[in-house]
Amino acid sequence: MKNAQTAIPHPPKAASLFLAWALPDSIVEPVLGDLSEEYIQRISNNKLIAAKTWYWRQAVKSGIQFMFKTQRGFVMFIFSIILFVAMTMLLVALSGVTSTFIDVQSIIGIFPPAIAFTYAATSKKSVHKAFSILINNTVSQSEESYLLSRRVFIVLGNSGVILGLFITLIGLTAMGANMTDLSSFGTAFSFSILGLMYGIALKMVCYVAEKKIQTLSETEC
Amino acid sequence: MTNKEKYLGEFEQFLLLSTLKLGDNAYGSTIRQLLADTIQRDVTIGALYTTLDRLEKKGLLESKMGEATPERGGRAKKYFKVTAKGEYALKRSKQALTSMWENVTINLGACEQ
Repeated sequence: MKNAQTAIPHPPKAASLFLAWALPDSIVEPVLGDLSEEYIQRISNNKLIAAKTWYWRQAVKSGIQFMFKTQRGFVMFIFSIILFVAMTMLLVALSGVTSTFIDVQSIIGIFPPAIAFTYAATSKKSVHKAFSILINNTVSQSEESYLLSRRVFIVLGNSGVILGLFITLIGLTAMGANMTDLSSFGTAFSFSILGLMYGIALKMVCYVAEKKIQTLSETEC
Repeated sequence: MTNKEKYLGEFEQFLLLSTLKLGDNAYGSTIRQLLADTIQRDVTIGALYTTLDRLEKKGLLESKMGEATPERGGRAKKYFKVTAKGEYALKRSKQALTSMWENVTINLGACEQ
């Protein structure tokens, strides 16, 4: 019996997870069951690739159809982030000096420490919970969970800005020490400004995420 | 149902008729396959359940959860059954179509070409 069960092929897991996330709770079980049943029928006709393609097509089409109803909040959040990134990239491209806006030192100076501070100030569980609420906002949470999740994004965003200011001060100090060397002065200036810019960008995204969770919390509690 | 109520849409009629044809074995997968075999219409499972849900909310269908099987990954089936109200809505739509077709002559040969 055990061997017979393990021999049953499983549909593509990522497609099933996407569908389970996008579908309303009331039909997740019958829909995934129906697709699984038909997937096995198609595989038994020795058409593995065709069956997988069919499953993915069903999952993507049906998932997209439902996600705008069930996960509208998350879809709008992602859309706003994409819009923000696209607008930033457009402005950078219009300035004509794209490479000037990319500074690995500043990125390393902002993002890893901000994430580490967030883990330290809250907890690993709270961080995971905060992102889980943001992604899957159909599951009801306690008021305390919402509060802790909001705190995660507040800490992450504020850490970004404070680190940005800190990097700006380092840059200003370096600029002061290199007043006569224009090349070093320019590098220090760029480091100083870009650090602050990345910090503010992180704060902006976290602000939207925090407000999103606040809205969810006020709707439910 | 009052006379002012709208008639069933084409896809709604197909789903109710499929459910009637399948009897006790009417669930998502079998309905989908029947539509594909009979009218060569390959609908996505999402579109199917959206309409089934709408028909259930209108009171034209009722559903119950069935058994879970290993080939379904241990997930239960959702069986559908046409209610008396659903049968009446189907008959009404059919009568309306039949009335509209009365005294209408079209050259079917031209359509086939």
